[in-house]
Amino acid sequence: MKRIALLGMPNTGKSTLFNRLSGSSARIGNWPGITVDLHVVKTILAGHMAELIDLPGIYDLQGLSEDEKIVQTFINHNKIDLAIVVLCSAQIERQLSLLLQLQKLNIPCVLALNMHDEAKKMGISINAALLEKKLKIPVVKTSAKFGEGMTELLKASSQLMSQNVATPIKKISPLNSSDQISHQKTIQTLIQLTVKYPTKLNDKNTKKLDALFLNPFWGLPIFFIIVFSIFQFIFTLGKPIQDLMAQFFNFFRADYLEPLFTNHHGIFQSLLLDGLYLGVTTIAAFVPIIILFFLIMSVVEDSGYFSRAAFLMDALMEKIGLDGRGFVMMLMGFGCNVPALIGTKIMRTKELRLLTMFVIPFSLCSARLQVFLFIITALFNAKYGPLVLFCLYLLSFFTIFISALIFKNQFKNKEPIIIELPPYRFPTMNHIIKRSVLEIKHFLTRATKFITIGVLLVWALTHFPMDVPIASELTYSGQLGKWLSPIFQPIGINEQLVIALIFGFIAKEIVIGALAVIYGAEGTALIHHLYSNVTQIQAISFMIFTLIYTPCLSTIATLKNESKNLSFVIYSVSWALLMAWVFSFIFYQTSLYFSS
Amino acid sequence: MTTLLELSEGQSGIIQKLDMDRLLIHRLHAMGLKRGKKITVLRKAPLKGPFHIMIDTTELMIREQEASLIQINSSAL
Repeated sequence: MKRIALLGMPNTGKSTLFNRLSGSSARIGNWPGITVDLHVVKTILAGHMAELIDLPGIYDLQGLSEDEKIVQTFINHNKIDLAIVVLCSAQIERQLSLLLQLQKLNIPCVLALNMHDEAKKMGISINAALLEKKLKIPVVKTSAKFGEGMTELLKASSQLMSQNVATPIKKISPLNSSDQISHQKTIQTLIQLTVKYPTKLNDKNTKKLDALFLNPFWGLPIFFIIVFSIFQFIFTLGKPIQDLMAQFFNFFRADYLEPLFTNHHGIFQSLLLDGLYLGVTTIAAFVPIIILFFLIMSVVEDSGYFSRAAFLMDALMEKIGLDGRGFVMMLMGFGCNVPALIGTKIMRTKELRLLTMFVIPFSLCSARLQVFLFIITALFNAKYGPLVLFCLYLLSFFTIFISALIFKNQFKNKEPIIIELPPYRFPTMNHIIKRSVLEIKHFLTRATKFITIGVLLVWALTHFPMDVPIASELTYSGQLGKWLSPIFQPIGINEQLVIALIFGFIAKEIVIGALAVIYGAEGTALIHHLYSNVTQIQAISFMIFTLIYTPCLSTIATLKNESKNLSFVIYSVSWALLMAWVFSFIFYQTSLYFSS
Repeated sequence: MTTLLELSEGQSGIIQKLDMDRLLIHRLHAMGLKRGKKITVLRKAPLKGPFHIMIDTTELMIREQEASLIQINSSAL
């Protein structure tokens, strides 16, 4: 098996090129010493089976950023038979250094001058034939976006691979200053010989758009309108699809699965339906939202607007240790935490990303909103209801900011925040769809096991021992609730509500259903039951706890997937539980004090 | 000699020195910020936010912290 690595700086269209070359068969691969997911595809090149790996975009082989470390580890631990180096033609002067560094390691390289259409439009012309001669490697002009130059690139790659050069590949060693100077000189000569720049660069569109989007007065309002529209689009379109799916799953259960298992032992039926089937449907409910989210986010990202958002929000977010991109993801979390967490991938510095992932679960997502709406309608009149909900939203923001402030030194960002503002570009559908498909595949493969185990655990807690009513005080969950009562009593949450919280650990969508089972009443009957059994103060305390303690199993599974760090997950969940208790305690005790 | 921090919107200067540790210099080099390059401040974000700068065909956002370490010569222009 030959190994081909795709390398390049960020914003060079490297991933689009990967998608062009990979068709739709890309998957996520694991590599020794590397803790992030790399996309890989198997292909046949020059009669050899080969795997093509999309390495993270880096500016430099030497640096210490997370992505640079990944590429270094990869190169030092895996023999690379061929590197396809992708660079943005318009920025060739700056980007050639990466190629020279790779050549110095004796890695056979093919150079793809990508986005050559864009360079042409700007009036920059590159003499590829001469560059090829000077660099002594194949140079191909490509436009991954429009699929140009792909066959030529593959041809050049397979030719180079069949030559079978046997020079041993060197490990990456620090560049000394004489190397650096010689690199710079080489680049200067190469550029002078092969590249013609126009007297004045012609990129009016980006200038005009920036004048609007980054306007000191209009920039922020436009930003909020854009984020709000994205939010509306994803969740107004996603919700009906989710509801339809839920209806289908219920129908399938009632009409097909339940009759199928009527003859079986009760506990077996319950395990399959209330355990496994619930797990499957819980996971499936996220599919439409994640797909929609990545469809839209790819557009925002590929268009170049995302880095503008970072520019606009940076001053504010810097103070709490985050950056503008984190702010966008945090807002998306108000729809659903899961895609927001996956979306933090775009932040390429580890600490910054971890801190952002740390605070996203405090965003009041639509599932929590459902629970709050039900409880608020049950216990509050039309005058105070909206106020209670508004305060919960405020609290959500407050917990995000306070957590970021408290933990910003623990996840201290050591990287300078220097973000490229690439020209505005039209995204390509092909790339966007493939990316969404890949993300959903990834979520399903990685989260399924975790979520299923979690669901089964909660099922066991609420259904055993077998001879007592489900979710009653006699089950293990009820006993756990009793055992935990010294903790929950001071915050006004009774034992039945603790059982509901245990259910809520799976997903907030099932909390109301759980309450119905626990109290043995549904719909209006449940509302009456709550009204006569739970005080308003207790209800608010319960909602505060529900808001903060933990979003759902899928969020925790995603935290684990994305951070690849179990102690981070434990840390994050513990902080959430602690903060939930403290806030509920403060609220409940002061309210009791003032109402007595 | 001044730093990038003192340039106002629309002004340019020539980079004289990157006054920082070797690693950061390396990083800035890779992004196109090198001695002798012309650097232009396109705009500054409100509330002491980042700078939007241009070197050749590359546009970057850079925080005040890093901008204060870039020494430039604006009189040459």
